[in-house]
Amino acid sequence: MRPTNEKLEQRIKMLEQEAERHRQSESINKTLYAISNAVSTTSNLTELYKTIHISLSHIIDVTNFYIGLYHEERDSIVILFYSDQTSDDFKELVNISKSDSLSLTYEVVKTRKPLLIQKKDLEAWLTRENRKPCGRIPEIWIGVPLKIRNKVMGVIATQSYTNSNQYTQKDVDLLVSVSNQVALAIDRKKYEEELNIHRNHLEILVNNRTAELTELNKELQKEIDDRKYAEQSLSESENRYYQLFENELDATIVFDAETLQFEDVNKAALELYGYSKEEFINLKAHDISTEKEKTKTDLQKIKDSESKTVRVPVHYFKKKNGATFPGEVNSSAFASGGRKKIISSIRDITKRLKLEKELRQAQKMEAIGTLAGGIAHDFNNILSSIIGFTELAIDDTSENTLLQDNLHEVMIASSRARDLVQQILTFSRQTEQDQKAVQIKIIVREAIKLLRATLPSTIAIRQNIESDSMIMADPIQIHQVIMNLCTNASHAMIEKGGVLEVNLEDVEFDKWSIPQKKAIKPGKYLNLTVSDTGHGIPRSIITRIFDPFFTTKPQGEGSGMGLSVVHGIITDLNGMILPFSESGKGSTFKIYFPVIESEYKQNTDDGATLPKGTECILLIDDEHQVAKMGGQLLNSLGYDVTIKTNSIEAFELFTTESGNFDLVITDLTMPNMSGDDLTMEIKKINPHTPVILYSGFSTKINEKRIQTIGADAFVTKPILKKDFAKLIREILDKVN
Amino acid sequence: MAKILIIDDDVQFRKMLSQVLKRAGYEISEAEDGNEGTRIYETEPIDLVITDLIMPKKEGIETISELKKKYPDIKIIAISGGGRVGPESYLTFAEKLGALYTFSKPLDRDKVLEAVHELISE
Repeated sequence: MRPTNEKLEQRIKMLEQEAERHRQSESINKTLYAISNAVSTTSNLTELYKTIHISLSHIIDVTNFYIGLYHEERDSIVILFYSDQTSDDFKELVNISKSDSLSLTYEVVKTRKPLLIQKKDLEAWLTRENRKPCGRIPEIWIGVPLKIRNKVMGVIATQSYTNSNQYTQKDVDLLVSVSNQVALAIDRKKYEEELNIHRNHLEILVNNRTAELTELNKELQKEIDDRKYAEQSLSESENRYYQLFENELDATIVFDAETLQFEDVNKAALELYGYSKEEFINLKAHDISTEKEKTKTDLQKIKDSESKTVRVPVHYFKKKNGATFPGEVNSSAFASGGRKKIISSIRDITKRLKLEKELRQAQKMEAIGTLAGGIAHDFNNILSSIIGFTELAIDDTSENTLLQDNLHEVMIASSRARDLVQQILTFSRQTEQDQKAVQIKIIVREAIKLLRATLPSTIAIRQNIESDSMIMADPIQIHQVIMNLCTNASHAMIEKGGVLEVNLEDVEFDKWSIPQKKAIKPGKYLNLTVSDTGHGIPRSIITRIFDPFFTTKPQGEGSGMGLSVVHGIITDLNGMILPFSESGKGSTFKIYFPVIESEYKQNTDDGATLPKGTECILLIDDEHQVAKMGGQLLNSLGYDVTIKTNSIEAFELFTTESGNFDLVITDLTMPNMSGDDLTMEIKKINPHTPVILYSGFSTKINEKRIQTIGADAFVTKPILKKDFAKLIREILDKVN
Repeated sequence: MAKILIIDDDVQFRKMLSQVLKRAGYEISEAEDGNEGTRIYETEPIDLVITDLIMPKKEGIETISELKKKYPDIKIIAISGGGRVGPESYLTFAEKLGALYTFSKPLDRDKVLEAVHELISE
């Protein structure tokens, strides 16, 4: 059966409707796809909104269209996109929930439902609620909520200002069908944009952070470099400190301020105390001190001083071998490893104290000398009167009376006082001596000769005078040295007798063999030794024997000046005197004089240039060796010499053979007939025979006296060969 | 009778030496320093001058030097108790200036008298 036309038309219409639905569905699908695709194809939200607008325009009239987003926190609606025929601005609607105006957009948000409304219904609503419209009133308005995760995020709306039938419920359904996709697209894009913003922000943050890190890195590197430099400096400083510490000339030690345990010592400390480093660090500060209580007090001072240096002028220490020494200590406290430490440097001041003592002694001697010289003058005047008046008084007294005896005692006492003043004067003018080259052996022999006459027979004299060496000295002072030493020696033997021994020999010291390195330098010395077998000097006083006015003799018998004068003279000559003695075993004084390479010796080799002669000379000297030496000297000058050691014999020889001698040379001090008496006798026999008188160092003879006795010349020993040769020649030529 | 002038600032010493020389037969004049000594030498007939060296006002070395210049034949003996540098230094100086004999105090009476006799008898 064939369908009817009506049915056919119905059928066609249904098919057309079907086709239309199909097209519409297809359009919606295309729109949905376009909107979905736009999320990835658009670069930002504005572009997305535009794309949404365009896509929707394919399925609905969106001439007047907008998208509003709801901000719950801000209670506002922001129109993000709009397309509108009017020129009205779409502003943000704030405080929307409390607004007096009626917002259709907010009504959709609030109800969460789509809304289709015509102008007349809207105006009735406004009137009913007595509210104003937001913006211009359209003829018809459709709004659909945009929901995401069941929350209303905004509204899409389209409206017409001219046609109130522009939209139907179908259009509402159409918009509702795409609204989810629009909401999703906006949300995604918004999220994507936020993400971008975040990413950008993050990127900026990262960049900033990276920049900060780079900066920090640089700072860190700088800090590392600084630290490395500081460490290196510290290491160098430590090294430098250690070098200074180790090579410091003073003994330097570091120890804990509380336990006093040594922790470090330098080389000088090891040398000074004699301990090894291992031994040292097992000791404590008080172990090297001899003054334990003082150590405690001193250490407390150092601890209280914070970091200031504390100086202890003298502290006595002991070495490993038990020897003690005075030290000057400089200490300071410092912190190390959380503990207080003390660093001390110790200087051995033994030598300095000794020098100070010597200096004080020298100053004392000088002061005594000055004082002594000053008072000697007045003292001599007083003595002059005492002696003079006593002599006058003696003249007026009868022989062998008690009064005369007593006056003689005054004379003896005065004479002792005179000798003392003489000693003091010699002592006080030690530095004003008249130094010249002296052959000591001549002086020693003469001194012994003088002594022999005064010593008792119980004292024997032995002499071993070997050296011809010369020294620079004042002969009078050397004579005094010998006389003082020999007189002391004889005093020591006066009761029991004994042997006085005088030796003179050459010695040479190198720096190892020198007896006292500090007193004299290495070199050639003349050693004069005076020994006795007397009572000796007790050990307790041997260090004081050279002090002025120190004497062991009973009050009034000794001045105490003798040995101090001897010491002063020898020291002045850069020599040294060493006493050796023991109680009951005698005493020995060893004296060392520096030897000079004498002109005398040099000139003896230079005989060719000296004035010579062939005349006959009579030479008289009671000292056999001196006479022999003089004979040899004259022989070397070409003269014919006759030697006599006895002045009486010489006189007898001259009496009988005066014509045989062109010149007489005689010593002044001789036993039996002295040189001046002999000269006078010779002149009596033959006034034309020239006579040269010579004497030792000590004998002073007035020029007037020389003239009186008629001598042609007077010379003192030692006589330099060239001077002697010249003098002999001059005198012989004068006579001839 | 020969006349001797003693110049010394020590009164006691002058008195003592005067007695010694008077007993030996000499006439004596005394002065306590070089000024007074020079004045006396120029007003009295003096045969010999014995002078000390260290004295206040005008000391001996200067006195010897002046007298010797004015009166080259003057006979002088110098005596001294010494000073800081000891008697020899001053006495040696006096000798160089023309003192014929020099003696250190305290004096050896015999030697002094011997020298005085010798000089007066010349």
